[in-house]
Amino acid sequence: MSIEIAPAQTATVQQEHNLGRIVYRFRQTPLSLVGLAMVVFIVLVGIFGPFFVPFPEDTTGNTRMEARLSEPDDTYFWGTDEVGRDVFSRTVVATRTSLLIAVIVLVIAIAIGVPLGAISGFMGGYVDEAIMRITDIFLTVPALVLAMAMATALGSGMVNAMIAISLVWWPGFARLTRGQVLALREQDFIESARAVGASSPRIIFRHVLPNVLSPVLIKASTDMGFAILVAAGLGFIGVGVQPPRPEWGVMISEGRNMLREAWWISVFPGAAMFITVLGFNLLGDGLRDIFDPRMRQ
Amino acid sequence: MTDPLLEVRGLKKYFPVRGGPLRRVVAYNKAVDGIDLSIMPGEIVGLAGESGSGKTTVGRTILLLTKPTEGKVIFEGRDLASLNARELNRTRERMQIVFQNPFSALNPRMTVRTLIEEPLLIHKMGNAKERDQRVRELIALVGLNDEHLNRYPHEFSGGQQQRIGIARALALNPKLLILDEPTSALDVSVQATILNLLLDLREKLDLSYLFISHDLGVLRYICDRIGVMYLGRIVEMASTQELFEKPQHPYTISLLSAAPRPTLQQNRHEIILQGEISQSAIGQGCRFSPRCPATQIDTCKTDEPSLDEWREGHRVACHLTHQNLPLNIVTVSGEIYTGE
Repeated sequence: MSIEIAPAQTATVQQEHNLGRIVYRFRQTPLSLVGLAMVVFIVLVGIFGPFFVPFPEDTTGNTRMEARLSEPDDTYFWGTDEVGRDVFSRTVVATRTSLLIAVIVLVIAIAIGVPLGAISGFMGGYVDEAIMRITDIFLTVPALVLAMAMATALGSGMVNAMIAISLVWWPGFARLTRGQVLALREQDFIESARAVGASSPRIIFRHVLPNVLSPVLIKASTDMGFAILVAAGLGFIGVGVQPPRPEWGVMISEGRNMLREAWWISVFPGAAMFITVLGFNLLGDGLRDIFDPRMRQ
Repeated sequence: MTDPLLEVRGLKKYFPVRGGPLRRVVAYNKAVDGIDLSIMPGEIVGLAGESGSGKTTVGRTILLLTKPTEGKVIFEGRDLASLNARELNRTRERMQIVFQNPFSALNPRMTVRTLIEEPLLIHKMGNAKERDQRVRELIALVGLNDEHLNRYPHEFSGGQQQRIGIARALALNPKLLILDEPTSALDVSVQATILNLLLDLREKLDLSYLFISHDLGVLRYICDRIGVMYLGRIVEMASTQELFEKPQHPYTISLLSAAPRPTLQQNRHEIILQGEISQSAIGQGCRFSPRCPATQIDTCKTDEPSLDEWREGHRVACHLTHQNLPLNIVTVSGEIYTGE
């Protein structure tokens, strides 16, 4: 069944405006600081990396057959692949692609899920029932299968992959928001807003949604890592980002047959992905501990 | 004689209880089961009762925050049920509520300024400058100052939060405030300051209050008249002095006898009620009869007593009183209380 009620968290809301306290709590959880540092590093690489890579042309279709399968050395820091492209340049440029996919997927998922969840929890009754059943249906569809189906029907590509991931991602946000709203709905300030004559849209947007923001952001942070993984998975099976544009999943896939002769083709993009996902997860866990200690498992 | 500001007639609020696999309505929780009440301009009327007596529901139903199952709420001569949504919103300007838990009644994401300004915004009152003026006026009225406006609710003490709640409720210049246990979440020392603030505000702004509380001491201090509720009905209604000096209903008598006193000795006059307040008592006979400490007569088990005038301005819902029979209630120490 889909009925899950997130624990009420409103008591912790009161601490959130206190910046000093947040900084302090952050310091108390060293792992979240590590996560934060990793995320900051990855994001900087994603934004500025492509301007500084040694072989930017390798990411747009250039091949260098004379240097194929070079081991990592001074010229090619992380070696070259089957057609002589610099793995380092491609891995760095792929960072931006992965981050972009994940951010866009989450923005779409939040844009769909949060309002639906809020309406569902706030209105209750048949509206709630209808929205939650639709949510359930979307939850049953695996991202990979949907993306493959869409690739067959509409063609492979980054945009279709993002749409496919977003479509299966929003139910998580809808259910999280609904649970939060159910708890909030009992609060007197909602009743108070009604007593002074506030309309339902006003109550939802001014009184309910601002109070569910922090759990949503926490989930978004943790989900960044998972979204990157799913996007890479789609790239790996060939229905995601299309070559020659570099993407971690695609790169791992390209190198998987030569793992014994040229391990560097798959291992470096894999490591980059590992660090990114780990960073976002640590950060997400840290944020959750700071804002919402009761959600800790 | 002037017309009452608020008149409530035969107000009922039943909440459906669902059960079984099909979630059908199997019973009703009769939170409010036929209440008559009137509040004159400038009057403070108290509603007393233990938890589960339906006193909070009365407040919310009067404001139409929940729809009454039956009955009329007449405010300033107009039946609220006959108003359309817009007229109802206009009426809400004149009738506001202050909640029990001040922290939960204030949106933690809004500054005090936004909280107090919101009602003005919703009702499109004045321009930005006039609203700012009004917000400053209100915050001063409840004994806080301008510096507090840019802070968030959690930065205040319980008493201060309640003052903010009151300022918000007063923003629209209401005539009637429903005070739902406004002091019971506060420390005793703070309670007194809030009560005095409320009394001051009544003088200054010509307000009327419906003061809902389980605390008889608080009600005695602030109210002109008090109604005692039991299981969704008012069982006794009288002026404060009359109620405390000449309580007639066995329930009122037990409540008064159980009120804490500032002494270390055991209260010898206390009457201990058996059992718990329970919806199952509604049906046949007097709903208080399963717990009634008085010597009951047959009618108590068969007929529901109506709230009739016992003497001028004092109404009681008890067969014994209606028939001038002695109550014969036995206190802890074995004394017998006849009700005379």
